[in-house]
Amino acid sequence: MVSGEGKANSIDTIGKISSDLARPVLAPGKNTAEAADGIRETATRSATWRVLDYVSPLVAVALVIMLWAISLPGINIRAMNDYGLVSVLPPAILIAMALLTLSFSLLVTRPRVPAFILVAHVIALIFIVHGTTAMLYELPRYSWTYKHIGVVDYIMRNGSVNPAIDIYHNWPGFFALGAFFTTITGLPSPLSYAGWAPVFFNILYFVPLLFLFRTFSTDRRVVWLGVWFFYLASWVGQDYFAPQALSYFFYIVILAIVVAWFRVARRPAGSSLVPLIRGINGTNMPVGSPTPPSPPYPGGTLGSPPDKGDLGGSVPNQSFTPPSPSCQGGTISILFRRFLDRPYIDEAPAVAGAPLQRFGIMAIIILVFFVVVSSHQLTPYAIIAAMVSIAIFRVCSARLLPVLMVIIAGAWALYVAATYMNGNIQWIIQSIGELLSNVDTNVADLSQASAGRVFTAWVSRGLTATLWGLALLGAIRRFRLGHRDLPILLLAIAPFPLIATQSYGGEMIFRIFLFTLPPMAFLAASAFIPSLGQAISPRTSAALALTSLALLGGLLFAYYGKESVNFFTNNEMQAVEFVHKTAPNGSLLVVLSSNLPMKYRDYEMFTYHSLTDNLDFNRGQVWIGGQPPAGQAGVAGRTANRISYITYLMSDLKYHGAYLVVTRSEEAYINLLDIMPKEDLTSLEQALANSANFRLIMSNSDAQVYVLADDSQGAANQ
Amino acid sequence: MKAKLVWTLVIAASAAAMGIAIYGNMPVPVRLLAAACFLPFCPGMAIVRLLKIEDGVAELAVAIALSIAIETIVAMALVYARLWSPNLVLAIIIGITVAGTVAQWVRRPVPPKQPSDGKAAERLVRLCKPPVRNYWEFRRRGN
Repeated sequence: MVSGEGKANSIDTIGKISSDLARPVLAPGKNTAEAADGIRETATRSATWRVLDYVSPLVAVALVIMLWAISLPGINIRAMNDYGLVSVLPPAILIAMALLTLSFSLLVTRPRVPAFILVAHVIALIFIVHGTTAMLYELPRYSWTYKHIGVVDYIMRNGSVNPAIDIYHNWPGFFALGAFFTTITGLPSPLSYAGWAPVFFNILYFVPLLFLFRTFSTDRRVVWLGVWFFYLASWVGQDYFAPQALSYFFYIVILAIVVAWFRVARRPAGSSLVPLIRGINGTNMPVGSPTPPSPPYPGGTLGSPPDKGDLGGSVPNQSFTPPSPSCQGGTISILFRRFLDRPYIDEAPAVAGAPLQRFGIMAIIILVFFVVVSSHQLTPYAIIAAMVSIAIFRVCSARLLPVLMVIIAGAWALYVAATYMNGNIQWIIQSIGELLSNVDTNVADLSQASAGRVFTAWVSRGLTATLWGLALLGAIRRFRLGHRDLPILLLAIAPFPLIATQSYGGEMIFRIFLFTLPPMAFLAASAFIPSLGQAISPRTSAALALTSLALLGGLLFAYYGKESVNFFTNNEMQAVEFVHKTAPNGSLLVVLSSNLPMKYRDYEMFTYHSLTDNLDFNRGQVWIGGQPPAGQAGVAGRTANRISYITYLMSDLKYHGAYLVVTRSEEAYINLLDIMPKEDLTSLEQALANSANFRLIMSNSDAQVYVLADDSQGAANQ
Repeated sequence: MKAKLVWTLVIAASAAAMGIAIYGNMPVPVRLLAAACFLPFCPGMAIVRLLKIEDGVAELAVAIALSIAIETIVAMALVYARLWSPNLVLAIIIGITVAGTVAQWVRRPVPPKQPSDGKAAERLVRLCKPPVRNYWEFRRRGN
């Protein structure tokens, strides 16, 4: 891959991959007569047919896009129910998605499909799945998007960060980039483009995914199917305008670079596991002789297996030399050597670049990792987990890399982000090791949930289980065919220990799924195409098509399942904008829940209070003075308690003004997550409208803004 | 050589277009187009080309990552230094890009090692022969 000295040895990995990708893959076992028939058939095919072969899939993709585009205007997103966006999608869009999936499933197993046709399918899938919401919604999805936009707005206004404000100012890399891009393009705010962030980021992941999977295998079919499965299973919605989305791109790039350039083709003798194994065996016998250097294969890197070519199938590991009897250790060490002391990834040998070039690549890894460290709190540790796992098993030749990464991440946390860490280090340390508690926080309680929410939750779990099950099946199939995919398995498993570190706001399990997704998607694809050159039977093709359709169906419910709370309207934005313009600096902005388009500008000038963050408020057990008021009971009593509590909050004289903002999306959030009984919410809204304590100062069909009736400041600012 | 020239031209043209669009106060769509062509690829590609990565997909992936990383680091450095100026960030990034592009041309390729077993002279003699004009001459020379 890297030229310079030793080019003949080093170019082979991906250079060979690219030539392999262009080659047809034939089924092993076909005799020469069959092959000759195939050649004759190819020769007799007219140029017209060949052009049709190319053009027809592209026409199909174009038709699918057209079908999708003409169906969009008829969608009424306000009619959405608890099943999410799928409940309002017209059949034409569902048919378009299904046709695209079937087309790809049929094409990907064929040997002579040009890459640009597969690229067209993947890009079309990204646009349809992620562009639908960008086209339909008036504003960007997710309330978190607006919080991130607010930080970008702060940097654009002030040209600096203030670590005392919140956590984002302690990890500002992504926001500085956003401020730079927004300003130089002349856009007023990231609001202009944040809605398209999922499309942008998913396209961004495409090239590094191809890069990563091509280091796993030279079989173009499994590479492309892995990419397809990645997009079909990516349901956790971490691709919006957020540091996680950008850091995830760097995560995939770092994995790909390390596996491509710093992977050792075989585990050297004297592995760090050997003493461990010896200890387990309880024997002091030397464990295995040093593995003899593998023969230099013609045209390949020293120690790498030969290119199996088109008819290679699963070639047994020719370089594996069993330890001599005189040097054998215990049973476990023999098993370990037999199963793992082989080339880890059969098809793609490791690259040995010139030292200077490897230094350059390593410098890029460190630079990119530094950006991840400066942008996101969790991703650096996912990268470190992956690097540590492959370093322990000596899959990676850069064994000091994880040490360097720990130093960089630690230095940032303790020095640059010291302001945040000083106030939070205690609970961060306490949550480490609280495995059961962290898992419990990550699992949603569905006991009171609506049927739609229960359904989408179980579909999400089913989609995850299906992908992981397919990955297990793929790993087993590859193992039985002679592959030893230790790096892939390690990368797939490495993020799981993160669950023991903390709950990450109840999202750790989703992030773990996200970090395991690339290797899992590749292994899942291997369940259908386990080895280079293996023919795909019609039955397997049918199973592949059905599985792709099932994953697509799961994705639609899992990814779009909460869209009733994720979309916002211009009316809601109008109300929030009204508050921003009206409220004096230092005002208190009270909201029912934090699910609204807020904090996107001037956010440091206000204090925010989300009422439903208080469990007592949700139960209606909030009262002033420590004694429950006598008289009313039931819904009316709880509503009276809540009204008096809100009045008390907004009367605080330390604020220069107090505003209560009630929007459609806040209500949808409370109803979907069953934070408060529906009748309680309706009663509260009616009480606010009728209460003598509050005065409505702004209203439209989706939002209302209240101030206290005796708030002279609020009245003066109207 | 051809690919090198193409990439150099693409990077140089994108950098120039970016500079003109931003410093010339062009309308937003022009700025967006220039930024979309320059920012995701060019700064990284100008440097990654120095590493002579043969595979296009690997080169592109590393170049995109490096481009975004450089832009983030430069922007963040100016934020922490309280020297925030998006135009200055862009100037530094264009400077890095130009430096990388120039370095590609300045850096000479490593000459291939000559065999030291005496066959070099024989090869030289063979090279000095006039080129074969037709099949019969080819046969006459004893090939």
